[in-house]
This record gives sequence, structure tokens and C-alpha cells, in this order.
Amino acid sequence: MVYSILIVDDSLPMRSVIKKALGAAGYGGSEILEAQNGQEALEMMRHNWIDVVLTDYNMPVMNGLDFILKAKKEELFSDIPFIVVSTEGNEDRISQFMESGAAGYVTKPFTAESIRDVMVPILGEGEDEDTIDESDDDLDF
Amino acid sequence: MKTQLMKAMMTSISEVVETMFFLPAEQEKESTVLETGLLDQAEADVASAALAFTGDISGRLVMMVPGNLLSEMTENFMGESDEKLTRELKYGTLKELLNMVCGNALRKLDSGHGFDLGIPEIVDGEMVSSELPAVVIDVADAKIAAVLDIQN
Repeated sequence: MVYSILIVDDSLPMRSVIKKALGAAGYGGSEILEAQNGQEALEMMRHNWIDVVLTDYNMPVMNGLDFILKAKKEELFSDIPFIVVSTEGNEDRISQFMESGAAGYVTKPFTAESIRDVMVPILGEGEDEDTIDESDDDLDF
Repeated sequence: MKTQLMKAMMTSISEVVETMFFLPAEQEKESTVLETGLLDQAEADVASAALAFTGDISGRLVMMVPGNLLSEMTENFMGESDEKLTRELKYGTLKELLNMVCGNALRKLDSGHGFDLGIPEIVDGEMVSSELPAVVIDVADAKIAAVLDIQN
């Protein structure tokens, strides 16, 4: 199945790395949309079908937490799963994210394996699942 | 706590460089900005970025990376050849390196209250005080320095 995945991060290099990691995790055939902050992402979500959102926390204009809280208030977006991909990894912050409605959390630095571990329970295997070597715990991307 | 943070920075640089940039990193030593030798290199050849943090300990972390190494790191990070990489992308990569190193190191010290990170910015390395403590890491035959400017 081909998914539509929205990556929200103010860093172009980081968005590029997340895309590569998604490919290595088996989601390379997905449609990838990109936004630089929460506000831009909300606008994009109003005009595009989105299956899952991967968002950073620390962004200008609208951070990841405010973005999730705002999105969850809109009925249209209430079923969309949000995965936070961030350097912010202390317990208090992770609790805040999960209470806001996030479905998962990945700490930077990450591997393709850690992206896959959080994506599979939410979306199921990616369409490129046959290409993944299950014995490889450290997927290159 | 400052000593613990210096050690955490050293470990974090190695972890981030190896995991995200696919380059071997060897921990070298604690030093000062002056002793790193990075200030001696042509000013245009070393890129620097700074990130403020607040929490149980507050201050600023500055990372200094030689231009050639930054190009190689950006190529590995983005999976693009150097011809396609603009200075903006290289600076973006440096800011992400700094963000990940700082966040990773502070997590190792975290007492549960957490730290708040600012937004990384490119700075003039020559404006960094040469007496500040720094950790130096050998990466692919070059040196990366992480400079700690503690406020409290």
C-alpha cells in the first residue's frame, strides 16, 4: 500500500534524511509531503490526504507540540497519527507529546530501524517490505 | 555538572557522527578553543554554529567544523554529491549536527526536569572566546570542536 506521509521540520537536510530513512524502512514508495513548521503543515493538511505525520518539536513559527494540539482540535485531522522526531527526549517532554495525542516518538539521532519500529505498529509494513533484510538491525539509509 | 556535561558532549559527538553521518569518530581530549588549532585555520575554512540551552545548567554550545569535513558530512547526511550542495545546505547540516549533539548530551544529564533548546544559528567562530573549554573529536582525519559557554 502506498501511504501519504507529511514530514514537518524546519531543516531541509533533516527532512532529506528522514525521507532516506523512510525509504530504508520500507516506505520508499510513499508520497512524501514536506512542511517547514506547524502552521505550514496545517495548511498542507487541509489540501492533501495524509496518512501519518512525522514532526520535529523545535521549529520557528509553530513548534511541534502546538502543531499537534491545534491539529487534534480539528475534527478533520483527529484520526491522523503524529510521530514526533526530535532531540527533545526527556520524560516530561515525551509525556507532554503523548498526552497531546502523539502516537509515537523517535529521538534524534535515529536509525532507519528506529523509524520502522514506530511506523509499523501505526501504518503496517511499507510497500517495499520485501526489500528489508529482517536480520539487519542497523539499516543503512 | 560542567565536567559531566563535557564528557556527555564528547560521547554525544561520537554517537551522532557515527549514526547520522556514517563517519568514524575518535574521542581526543578536553581542551580550550585556542588549543584546538581551529582558530589558526583560514577563517573561511571553519564553519561555526551556536545553540543556547536552559535548564539545571544553562549556556551556549558552539560547534566548529572545518569546511572540507563539513562538505563530506553533508554529502553523507543528505546522500548528495558535493556539486549539488549549496552553502545553505552545509550550514543547515551543521545546525542539525549541533542540535542533535546538544540534545543528546543534555539528555544524558537530565534530572527529569528537562532542558529547553533554542534555535541553532551560524556564528563567526572568531568571536568565540579562545579561553573557553572545548572538547575535540577526530573525525575522518579532521577535528571537530564543541565549545561550552556556561552561564550558571
